[in-house]
Amino acid sequence: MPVSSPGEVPTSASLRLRLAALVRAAALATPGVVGLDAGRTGIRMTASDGLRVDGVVCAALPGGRYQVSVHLVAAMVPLRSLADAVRARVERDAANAGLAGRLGPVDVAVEDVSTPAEARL
Amino acid sequence: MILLLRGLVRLLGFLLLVALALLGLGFALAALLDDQLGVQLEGSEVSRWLERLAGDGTQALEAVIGGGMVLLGLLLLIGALAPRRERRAVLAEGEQGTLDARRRALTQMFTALAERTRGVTHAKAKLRLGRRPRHGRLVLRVERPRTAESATVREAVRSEVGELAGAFGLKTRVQTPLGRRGRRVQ
Repeated sequence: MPVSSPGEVPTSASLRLRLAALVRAAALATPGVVGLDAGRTGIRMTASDGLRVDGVVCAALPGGRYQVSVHLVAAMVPLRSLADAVRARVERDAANAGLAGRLGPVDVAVEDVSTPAEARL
Repeated sequence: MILLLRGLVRLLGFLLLVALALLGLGFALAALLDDQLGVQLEGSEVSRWLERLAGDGTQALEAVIGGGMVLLGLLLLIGALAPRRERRAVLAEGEQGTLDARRRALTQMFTALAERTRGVTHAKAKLRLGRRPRHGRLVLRVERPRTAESATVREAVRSEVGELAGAFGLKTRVQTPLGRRGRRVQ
């Protein structure tokens, strides 16, 4: 079942899934991010306990941390500052949730761009 | 178009493999159950060839063909099963993480940037990414009205896309043909 907000993830769920849900919400709340993209086959996601977070891949690192990849659809904005904004928001939300120590590098992958012409449709 | 062709190749490949498998199965059944099936291999060319193969001495030609077939089969298996790696344009790499973009997304961005340039009636971007990160080639074909000078439009487009193209290490070429009738400046 797809998860759209961290509130939908039970506290008993795995840390990986909780972190992925948090990252998804943080990325979507960042201005310039139009949406997240799990790919044509839906392979870019994090799944655990029958739940699924689309568009975010969480991979375990040595030392108990997790590397996070956010696959997003961007608006026509400068990409470098967009990635910085996504990272800052993810780090802030992870710290608020007490997961700062578990968060590793945050990769930002721009999968698609929403151009002004598409936005008008 | 490319997706359609890929689908067609996959379908034809699949049908060919099914035909090949059925042919092999037919030969195997004919060799094992020739009496029950009413197929007579004895005295045929196939039978004589098999006897010659089973005979003494090295059959160099058959060995080469057989070895080649095995090699071809292995190559086809690798081609079919090896995962394809999508080439991505990397903008930044560091301890914080990587920032990269899909080719299609970047192409859309360059097209949109070029189309919003003054004097451009229509734009199309083609992007080729190199094997190494931060290497690639961007070709922008921007159409212009007769009233706009080619050099002016080229420079305007270059300055519009230059920063993004530079960040991805792309060599940029801008073509400025005259636009088709009926197309208007954005």
